[in-house]
Amino acid sequence: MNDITDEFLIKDFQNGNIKSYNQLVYRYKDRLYNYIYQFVRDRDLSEDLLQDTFLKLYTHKNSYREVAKFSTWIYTIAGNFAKTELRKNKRRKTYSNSDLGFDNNEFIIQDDSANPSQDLDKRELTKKLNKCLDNLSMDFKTIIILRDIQELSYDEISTIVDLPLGTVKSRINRARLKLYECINEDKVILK
Amino acid sequence: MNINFDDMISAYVEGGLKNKEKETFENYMNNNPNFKSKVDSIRHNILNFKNKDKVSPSDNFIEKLHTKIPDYQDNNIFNQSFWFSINFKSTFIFSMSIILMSFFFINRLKIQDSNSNLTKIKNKEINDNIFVNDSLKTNDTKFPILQVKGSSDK
Repeated sequence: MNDITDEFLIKDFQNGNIKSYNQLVYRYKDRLYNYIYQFVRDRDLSEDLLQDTFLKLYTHKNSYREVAKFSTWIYTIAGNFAKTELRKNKRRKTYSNSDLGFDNNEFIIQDDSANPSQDLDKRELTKKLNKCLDNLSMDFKTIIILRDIQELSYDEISTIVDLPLGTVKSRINRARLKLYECINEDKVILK
Repeated sequence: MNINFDDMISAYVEGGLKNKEKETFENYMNNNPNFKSKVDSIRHNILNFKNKDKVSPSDNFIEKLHTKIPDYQDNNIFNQSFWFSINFKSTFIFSMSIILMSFFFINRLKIQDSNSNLTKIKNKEINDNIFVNDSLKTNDTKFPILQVKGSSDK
């Protein structure tokens, strides 16, 4: 069953075979869940959005055309759901007291090491990376998630974000530099 | 030639530089410890993202998904909700109306048929009665019908 391409499965599902739909769900559920989770950072919400993604696959199966890879199509759907939710959350957060700088749980880490990203232990670095990733603009964040976490090819990313290959490459480089700068800032606020 | 080495970091880390570019990049990097530290740090960050712990949806995610799909249950006749789904209801109503109409039509044909049979029997009975009555009138027990026919001709 693994030899069968995603494109064959979606075609088969378009012809009414529900088993092919289930196979696609099985293949993509973990990858897409991780992808969505990087945006919203909430497990339950990620699962709801993943469900919405697969529901859309079910109800809009005929929107898929074989000109694009199935993976790029489904990633685009999932990404759109995640980004819409993130925007909604940000609007809600604007009115939340905890985000006005009075949160007692926030503390400041003083960074004295010459090369902090190498000296920090893995957990702390992951925390910092997540924080810095969340602070990136949506365009940079999306591209880092697709390339460094989801490990998609430049061609796939180019289709998903609908940008030329050259722009994708330079944007990934700039995003990585921004992450580097963020991690090496003297004071990093961790939640 | 003014080269921006920052722009080449990702390509270098991912092994995308050509031999000549790579050589120039490495020469610059080896002569600039701060830049080397930057490249190492970016490489480390990428590795950290790659090795990040993966999260998974709940074990019963697929089952939960199936309950949310509007007509998924229609594909499963053993599922209870199938019997209450819109598709089943409309199919059931349509089939029942076809059956009822056929039943009504067949019954109608049967009634018509039995009516014509009844008329035939009635006519026969009437004829027989005439014959019997006429034969009684003639008082001839031997050849009642001939007698009747003869008497009626007169």
